[in-house]
Amino acid sequence: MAPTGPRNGAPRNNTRSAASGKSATRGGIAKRRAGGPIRVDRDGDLDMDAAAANAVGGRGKKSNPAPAGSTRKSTRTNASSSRPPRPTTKASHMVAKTLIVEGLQQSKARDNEGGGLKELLIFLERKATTAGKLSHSVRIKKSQLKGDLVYVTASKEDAEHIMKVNGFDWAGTKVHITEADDQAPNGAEASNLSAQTQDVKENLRTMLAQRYDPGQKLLNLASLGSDSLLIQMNMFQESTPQKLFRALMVICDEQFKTAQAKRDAISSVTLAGNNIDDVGQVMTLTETFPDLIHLDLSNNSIKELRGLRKWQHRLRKIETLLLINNPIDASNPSYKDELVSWFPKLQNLSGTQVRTAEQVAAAELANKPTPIPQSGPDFRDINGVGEQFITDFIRGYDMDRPTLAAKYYDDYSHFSLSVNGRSSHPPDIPLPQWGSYIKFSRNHVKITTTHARQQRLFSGTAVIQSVWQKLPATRHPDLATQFDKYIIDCHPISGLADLSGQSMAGVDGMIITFHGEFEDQDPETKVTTRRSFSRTIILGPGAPGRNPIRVASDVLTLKAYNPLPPVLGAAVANPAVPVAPQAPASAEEVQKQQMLAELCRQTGMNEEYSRMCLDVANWVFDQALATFHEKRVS
Amino acid sequence: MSQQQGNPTIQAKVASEGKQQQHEGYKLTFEMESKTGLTTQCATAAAQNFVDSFYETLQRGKSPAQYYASSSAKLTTVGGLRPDISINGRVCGDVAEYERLLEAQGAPVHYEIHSFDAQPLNPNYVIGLTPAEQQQPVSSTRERDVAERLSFSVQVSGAVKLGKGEDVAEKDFNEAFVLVPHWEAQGRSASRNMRKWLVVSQNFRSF
Repeated sequence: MAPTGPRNGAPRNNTRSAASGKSATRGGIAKRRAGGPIRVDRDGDLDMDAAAANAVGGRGKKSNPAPAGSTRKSTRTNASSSRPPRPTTKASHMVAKTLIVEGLQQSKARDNEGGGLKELLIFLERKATTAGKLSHSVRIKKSQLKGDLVYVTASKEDAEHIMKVNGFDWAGTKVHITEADDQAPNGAEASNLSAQTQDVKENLRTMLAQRYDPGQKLLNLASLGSDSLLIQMNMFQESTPQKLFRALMVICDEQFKTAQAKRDAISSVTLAGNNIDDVGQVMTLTETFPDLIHLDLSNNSIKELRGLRKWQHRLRKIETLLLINNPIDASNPSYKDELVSWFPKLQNLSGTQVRTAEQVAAAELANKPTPIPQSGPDFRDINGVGEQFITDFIRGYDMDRPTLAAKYYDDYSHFSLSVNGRSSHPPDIPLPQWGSYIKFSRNHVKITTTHARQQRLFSGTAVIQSVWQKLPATRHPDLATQFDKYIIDCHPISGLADLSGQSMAGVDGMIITFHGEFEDQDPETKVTTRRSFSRTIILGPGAPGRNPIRVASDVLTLKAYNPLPPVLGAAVANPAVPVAPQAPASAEEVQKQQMLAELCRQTGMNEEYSRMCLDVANWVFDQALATFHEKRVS
Repeated sequence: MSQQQGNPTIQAKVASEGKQQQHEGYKLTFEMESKTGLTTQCATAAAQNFVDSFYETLQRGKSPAQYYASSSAKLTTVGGLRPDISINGRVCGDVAEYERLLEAQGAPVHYEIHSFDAQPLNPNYVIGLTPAEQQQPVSSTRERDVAERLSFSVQVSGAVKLGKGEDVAEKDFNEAFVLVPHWEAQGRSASRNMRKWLVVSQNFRSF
């Protein structure tokens, strides 16, 4: 059991029976009685405890002084710390609902040990679960006896199911359930209680302050069982170690406004010597300190990996974990490997270095995904065919589509367009209207029937001409002067249909994929819109008697306008992957490069000066050379 | 052409084969004409299947090698083919190099497909077949037969999401493919796990 410490290190059953011996007649609400020592509540009535109790989702039922020999089995017995954490205290509080249950005083159960409250709660939970035919168990979070009435608090959903039990027979009477107006009864007792709470809280805060080392950012929670202040407060008789620990964590939490402040103040915690055999007993540690870097669990009773399993996916930043002098060392010698795999940043496990800081950093870097780098155009042209075509195509598509279609498209050419309405776009640009395009869109994600897919594939010169006529007029940026507004890739491809019918194996051609933008004008509204596009055109040899180049396939995708990334000369070196030799952007560029190299060679000038010289001479080589000689003479 | 609906028109087209066949020099073209309805249907279905499973493979971090022409001995040895893979302007010499790029990209990666489109390319693709096999006529009226020699083009548009939680980096992408028949995957004895079409051309760009 959690922090009982060496002195109070008896098995937890002993602890409990010690407590129950003293308070065997108490129900879950006994602490409301006036007088007596200050107690930490078992059912979450105390403010300081409520948050923690909710956070873990338990009602602390384990701590209930169950009557000796009680064999009750209900969902409540195991409803404690193993539950997953609830969202937040506040959220769960807001959705909780309190009901008033009448009937306990009239029932036969009243004479039971503990006053019958427990039996009533079990009854309510069980009946609500079965009456609602629920797959989960209805759970009462909080209960309180006040006079003849029992206040029970449950989640809103569960409370509705509990309401269904209204009027049921129980222990010789009928239970009568109504909704409470308020979260819980208030009155003199409550304020009295909160004064007591404040007292306990203050004491615990003092204790925490004494155990905090700001220099080392260390919170020392070792051997809590022998803490003189806690003993003096009678904490181990009035509460369970688990609840005490939760309370401590809540108080810790309250000291910090932000997670960052918490991280800055506390990076290490020691829980050594607390007789812990399962970290579930101190589960809230990882909720209060999720970013903990060093943790000491030495001198505890952890026997198996199972005892640590609940933290397998927590403590993502832990670098040091000390488990010295735990039984697990002897019982499971191979546990260390597994622990190392649980915690990606773990470097020091019980004093042994299991990773270096460099290894942690390298693993992190390797795990972080990075986009595939951009390189310049991959323009593998054949005899300038691609360059010639793309120039002709863009001009023709803007100026004279019928002629363009007649020149390059034949009866076996296909054209289709798709609207991608989900592409990203700059936030300051309004989403475009797609009215003029959407009726032709063949986007297979949206157009799923075979019929519609066939309808929207346009084949043959005449059909393509007629569709193009219906599409809005466009203006593309000038290819020669605004080349940065395009990305054009192309490469050769084999196995295209030979329209001359001579080559059985098909003919070679080229596939061009280009991306860019254009402005269009809606024929009806005259609204001008800028859009982005990607277009893949497959070129092959033309049919006999036709233009030597034909378009076999033309697939156009339209998107909201989004400027292209700069790729010209943006070949990013990636040491992992050797850069393949890049084809130059255009024939003109090749020529310029050659001139540049030649001028450098002939004059001995560096590249920069050679380029200046050529620029001045308008890239006429002889003139540039002449300029150089003139300048040298002068 | 293809604007007419489905199979009834195909029958009509097949009936007109005789006339068109006499047209000199266009031996194959009538075939294309008559097949268009079916080839479109085929290309569209095959593209759907390809897009669905290709990006799933990438997302799972598995090797995409089985999608490429390099996994067919006929295409590579008889046909002398090599898939042409261009990724953000970088030409990958082989699938392994592409995989290295994917590995360097890391995980988790999620591909969101916003749109894709496909068109039939060559209804009588024969690269990788022996001259004798090439001569064997293929029926143009049965979908299965049409599918056997069909090559097609695909263009995909979507977003790549890298990382998870707050760290997600999202980029739009466009990817164009040409796929050709996988000869080894045809016939009764072929393994059913094989892809029916293989990539010979791939062009990827992220924005």
